[in-house]
Amino acid sequence: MTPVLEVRGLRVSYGGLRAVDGVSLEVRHGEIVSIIGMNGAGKSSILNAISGIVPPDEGEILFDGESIGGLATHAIVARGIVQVPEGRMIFGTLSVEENLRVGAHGRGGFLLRERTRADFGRLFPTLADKLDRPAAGLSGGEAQVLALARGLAAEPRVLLLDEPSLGLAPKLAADVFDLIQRLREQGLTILMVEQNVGRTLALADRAYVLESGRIALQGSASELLSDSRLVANYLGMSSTSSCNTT
Amino acid sequence: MDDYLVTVLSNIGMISFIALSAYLLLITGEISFGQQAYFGLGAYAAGAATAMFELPIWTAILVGSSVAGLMAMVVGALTLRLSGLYFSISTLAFAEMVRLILLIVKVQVEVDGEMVGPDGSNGFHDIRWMFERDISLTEFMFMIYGLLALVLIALIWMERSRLGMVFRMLGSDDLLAEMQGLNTVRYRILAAGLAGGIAGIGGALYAHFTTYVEPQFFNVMLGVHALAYGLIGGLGTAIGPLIGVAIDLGFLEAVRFIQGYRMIVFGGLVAVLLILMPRGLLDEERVHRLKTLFSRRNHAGARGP
Repeated sequence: MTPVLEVRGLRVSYGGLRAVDGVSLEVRHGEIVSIIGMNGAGKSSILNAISGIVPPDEGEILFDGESIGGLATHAIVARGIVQVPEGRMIFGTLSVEENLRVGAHGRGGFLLRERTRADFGRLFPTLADKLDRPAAGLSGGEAQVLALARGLAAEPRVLLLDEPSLGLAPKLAADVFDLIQRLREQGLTILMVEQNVGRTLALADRAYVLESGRIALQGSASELLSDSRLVANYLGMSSTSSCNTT
Repeated sequence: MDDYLVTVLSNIGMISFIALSAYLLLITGEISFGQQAYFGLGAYAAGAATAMFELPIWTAILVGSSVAGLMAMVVGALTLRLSGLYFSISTLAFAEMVRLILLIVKVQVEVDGEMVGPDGSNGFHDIRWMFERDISLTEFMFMIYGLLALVLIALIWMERSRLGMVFRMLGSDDLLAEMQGLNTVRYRILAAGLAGGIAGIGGALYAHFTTYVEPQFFNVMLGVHALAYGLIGGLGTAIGPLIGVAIDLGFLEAVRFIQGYRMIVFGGLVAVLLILMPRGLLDEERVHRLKTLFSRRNHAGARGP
């Protein structure tokens, strides 16, 4: 099966410092693919290059086999690649519902489809009764869920998730992962960046491990989980760091 | 009404246009120090339309507004990649450029045996539409407020529309707005053009009210005041900047004992307000609260016996 999204030989740098150094990856229809790695490994840069936010130095980005390199961000969104950026980014001055309508704007002028509305109530019960509140008043977890919901309201063909659980309390992070699990059951294609390696691999079909801008390991989630290098470097580290022994 | 009062009220009305112009950009998150350029371009273009080409006043106002709006779109397109301080400086630079060009431009035509038109640093005299048509100051004042009401209604309608939402999104985070699939470039140019066009209407009226304009009037102080009006009155509603203008030109100008100290009082007021209420008297939160208060009252009234 041909991949929906394909990145070939991507290089991205900021002021001469190379953040992504020759990355190739692919996402097939209906898959959850995860990019894992430490802070500064270049994970977000890959998503931002796909979204057209940072211009790549080199490399090709193909969507449905067509190059989308050089397109403006809004044009890439219009094709169906929607990113939910890191850090609970919502429009604080708009209401919760307006935030959702903003996401849905490409699909018929800021009007939420009935289906989207129904999905919303089912997927995000905690937010559904706060629709008319200003989004600035939401808690961090609710804001992250709203950012996700806004991304979904756009009815993306590929959803890019940047650190969806970052900074969330464990219970909320678990809710967010549950939500992603449900989206996967609906057949949504997702490329996500996460630091929570254990959780991510439990969810993803395949993953790429990024180190200093290069892909160090790749494979199916189950292969990677049984890979001693990954376990030692990431899972091992994350469990020791949580015990503060590092 | 005596002429003094009519003049003060007319000035408040005309300056309100440039205040609304600066306000429109403020809600999209851009601080322009150059809206006086579009006020000036509107004044010169509309003045030329009636005095040099003997066009009707409404056509002249349309010409003034369009020239200013189109120029603002061109400048907006050129400064798209600039943000924050760099954008502000470039708007100021453009406005000063316009002012300096107007100081040397001399284009005059003969009308009824007299030379009429912009005359460099001598300004643009004899924009005599009001005298020729025998329009009184009071009648002209009603014209000013009629147009102001139209612009205000249009702005308030816009704020409730999808466009207003987009403008506020740009003001809150334009990259995030772009990531929702909005062509932020197009909306930025549109906002610049609308703001320029609104300032141009004010300028067009001003030229016909005073019958004489000179480049010196459109200096940076006018632009700085235009910004301050929105910041004083509040960025939550288009009525905010009008309150700012009324405080400055109405209250401070009219109260005798402040005469001569007006700029000191005004400057102090701006400083204190920016510390206490960074988004002005009627900011988004207070507007929201007033709205809920109002709708609740209506609601209670409807349910009452």
